[in-house]
Amino acid sequence: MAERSTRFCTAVSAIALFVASSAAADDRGVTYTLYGTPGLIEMPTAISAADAEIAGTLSYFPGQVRTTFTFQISPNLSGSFRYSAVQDYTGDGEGSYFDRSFDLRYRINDETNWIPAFAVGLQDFLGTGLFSAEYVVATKTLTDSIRVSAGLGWGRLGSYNAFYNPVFPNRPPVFNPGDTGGTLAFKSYFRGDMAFFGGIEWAAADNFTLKAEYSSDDSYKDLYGNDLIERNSPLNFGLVYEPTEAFQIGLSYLYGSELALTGTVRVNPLTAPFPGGLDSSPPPVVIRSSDTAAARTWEMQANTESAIAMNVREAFIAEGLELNSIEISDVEVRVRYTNLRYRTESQGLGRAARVLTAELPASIEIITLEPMQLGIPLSGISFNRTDLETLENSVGGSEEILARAQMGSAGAEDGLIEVDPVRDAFSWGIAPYMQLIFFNGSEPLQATLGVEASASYVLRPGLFLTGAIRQPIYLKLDDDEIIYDPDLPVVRRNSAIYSREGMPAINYLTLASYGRLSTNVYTRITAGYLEEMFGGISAEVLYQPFDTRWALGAELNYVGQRDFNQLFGFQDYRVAMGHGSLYYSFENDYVLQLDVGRYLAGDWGATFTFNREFDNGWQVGAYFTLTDVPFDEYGEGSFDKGIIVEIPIDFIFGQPNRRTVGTTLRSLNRDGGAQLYVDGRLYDVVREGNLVELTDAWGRFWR
Amino acid sequence: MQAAVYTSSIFLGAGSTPYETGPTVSDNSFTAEAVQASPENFQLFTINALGIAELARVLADNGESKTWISQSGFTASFDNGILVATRGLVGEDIMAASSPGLLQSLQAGGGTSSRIIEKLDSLNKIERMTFSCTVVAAGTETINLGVREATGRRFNENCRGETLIFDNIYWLDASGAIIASRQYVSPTVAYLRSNRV
Repeated sequence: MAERSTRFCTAVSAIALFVASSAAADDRGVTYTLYGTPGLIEMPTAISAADAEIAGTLSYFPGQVRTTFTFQISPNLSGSFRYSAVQDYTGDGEGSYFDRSFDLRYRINDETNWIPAFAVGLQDFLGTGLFSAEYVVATKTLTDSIRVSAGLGWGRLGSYNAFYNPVFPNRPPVFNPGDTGGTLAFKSYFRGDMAFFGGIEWAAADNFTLKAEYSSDDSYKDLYGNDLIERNSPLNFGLVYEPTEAFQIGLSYLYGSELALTGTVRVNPLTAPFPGGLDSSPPPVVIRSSDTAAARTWEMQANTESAIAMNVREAFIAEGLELNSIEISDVEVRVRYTNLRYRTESQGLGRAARVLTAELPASIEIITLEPMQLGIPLSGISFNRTDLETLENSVGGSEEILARAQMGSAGAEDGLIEVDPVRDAFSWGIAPYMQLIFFNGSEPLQATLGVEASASYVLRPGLFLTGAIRQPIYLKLDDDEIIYDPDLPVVRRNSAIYSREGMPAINYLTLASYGRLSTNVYTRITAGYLEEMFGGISAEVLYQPFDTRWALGAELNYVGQRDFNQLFGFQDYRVAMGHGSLYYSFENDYVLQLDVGRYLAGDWGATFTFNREFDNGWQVGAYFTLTDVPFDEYGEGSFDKGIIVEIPIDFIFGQPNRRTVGTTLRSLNRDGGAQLYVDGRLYDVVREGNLVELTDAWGRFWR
Repeated sequence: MQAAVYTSSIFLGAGSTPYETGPTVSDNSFTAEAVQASPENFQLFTINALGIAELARVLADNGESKTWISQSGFTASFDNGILVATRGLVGEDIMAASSPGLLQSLQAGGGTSSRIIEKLDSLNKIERMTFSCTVVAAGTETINLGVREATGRRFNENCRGETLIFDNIYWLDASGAIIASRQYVSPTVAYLRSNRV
């Protein structure tokens, strides 16, 4: 496919005719720096990675390790989150100093035959400022395989051979010792002395790139200004080998003294390993015979209705659908079902519709499907059976069936006949679990391994009793003391104590009830041991019309802090908290969530979450929370912020599956702006059936 | 004090029946007796790229349009012998296809046609590709149908699109019906060969 070319062809070659036209010349041949950003060796360039590319880079040279996660947020904007360990930085012989940093880069224009691409960037603009730098850089592709870059840097990138900045001569320190860090420092960006940097990249072969750069960074110093590395030269040289599209391995020689190694793993949500998936074949539409006489004489009888229901129920099981209730009249049928297998409700609709064409009497022309999740009907979609019969394998049939379907909210419960559930009310499972703790004090990574036993009991549709017990098997115990803080309730900082004391632990044990109050109003009440550290009651209401891009929600919780041993007891701390939420799903797949309210420590504030949600289920985003806890009281990092990644399992393996793997990486897990973790919040459940989500993935209807 | 926590539950474990995956149904309708009794209900499907050579039976017979299901469970739909859809291949399926002018060209002994193929992309969108084709008669050949041989008139169809070129082959019997064909599916599947038995 398109990305598999390390050479930087600007001219259209014969090969280019056979690759997708979407790949602009300048997103090819991207290699990553020691900072995990697209560029030279340490210096940035104006090149962007392919839109949506996610790259994880680990780089090492004597005295420093950097791990970076970079996401190409849009074709022009990229963001990076980095965790670094710098040996001897504090100069007190206490080992490594750990630092978190965030970067942003914006590419201003596309490169043309005559004009280079320009980009402007902020490096480490939110951390403690160890790597703080700003730059403007231009990159020009000269031949098929040679690219040059030149730029002007400030901060760390303006520290070698620097010259006077006539506009803003002074650069106040981004970070003062004793500060909590993690805030914007507008007073410092692009100020103070500046310096030129630049370099050249040569794609010597399809999977080999050689690089050389002139570095304007002379800031490898410890807190007291002593050299961390020997800097004999401003020139760096590097080689990147790309064995496959997904991996890059680099070796470089830095500042005339040090060898450095990098490894990068790349993945792009826009390119699935199995486009369309490896789902089993659906049953084909069964077209009614042209002899409609039989249909006209068909009459509704009580026993035929229940016989039809039983046949539909059985046929649905093979397609991963559970029939919940049905209403049959002479010419219409209305079916409520739960899709257990497919990530998109559009695919569930297509399977259900096709099964029904085989099972229903010929007189029935209108088929209304009401997909459900957790006992809530999400929407009501009506098809003419004749349309299903004519459009199944026809070109344009996907758009056409969407255009002809009547789509709206689910109807009322009246008239529906309940069908016995397919699944047993009681289910259970035992599985290993793994918990990774990053950046715990001086430990960059700790892992907990154990066994989790879980069980679930469906009391009635929409009412669930679920619980899980965890027994750690491998646990790295540390000697963390229990933290007490008179100023701010300690709601998250003692999480290591929970990990240590829960042997075994009741991870959660809840009774959850889901419902629909009126057409567009959905409710959830969850009570019990909600999460590892808190238990109590959580009530949520969501207003989400079928065809709007926005939704409004409110959540109220009254919770108590659980005992460290995570059995049945509680500590003294109680809090009433919750928030009002606004959700907005933009047309270009970005989703904004704004939560305003009270947090676990009793602080008031707001959380802004911005996600890019791909139509195949990937989510990559970031959030930050500002509350009335002062930055100095919050502690290191000043306020809570982090990144969110969700990967759909069906993307990875191709087999249909509703689950995702994902995580929220918090820059620091502290007490200000701390959220309650409640499972099954309404927005993610309800919107799967709304107009935006259904149409975004409508291509799967006939899959 | 920790900075970030990641809990994963991607492991498989033991437990009660997961209905996500559904039951595996064994299909017993491919017996030699069944094939001999009504050979018109069976075809032989071959996909070299996937190492597939197996029988398929009629799953839905909607007159000129028939959907066949293979022994391994994928389906292929043909309109008058021309491939219009596949589902469940270990590779990219044809979601829908049409071939305006192809039947007429085959009946006229050659001519031009076009082929439109729709498939699913990585973002669950329908991607449509258009090809211009020429159909030429290539004489009469003896065709191996697996259990017997037959004689048919061969037609070669060459289709060119923006990024792809493929060559389909059709063998017609005396009545003008397609008794065997080799038709393009997708880059990962390449060609599906099908013939009557």
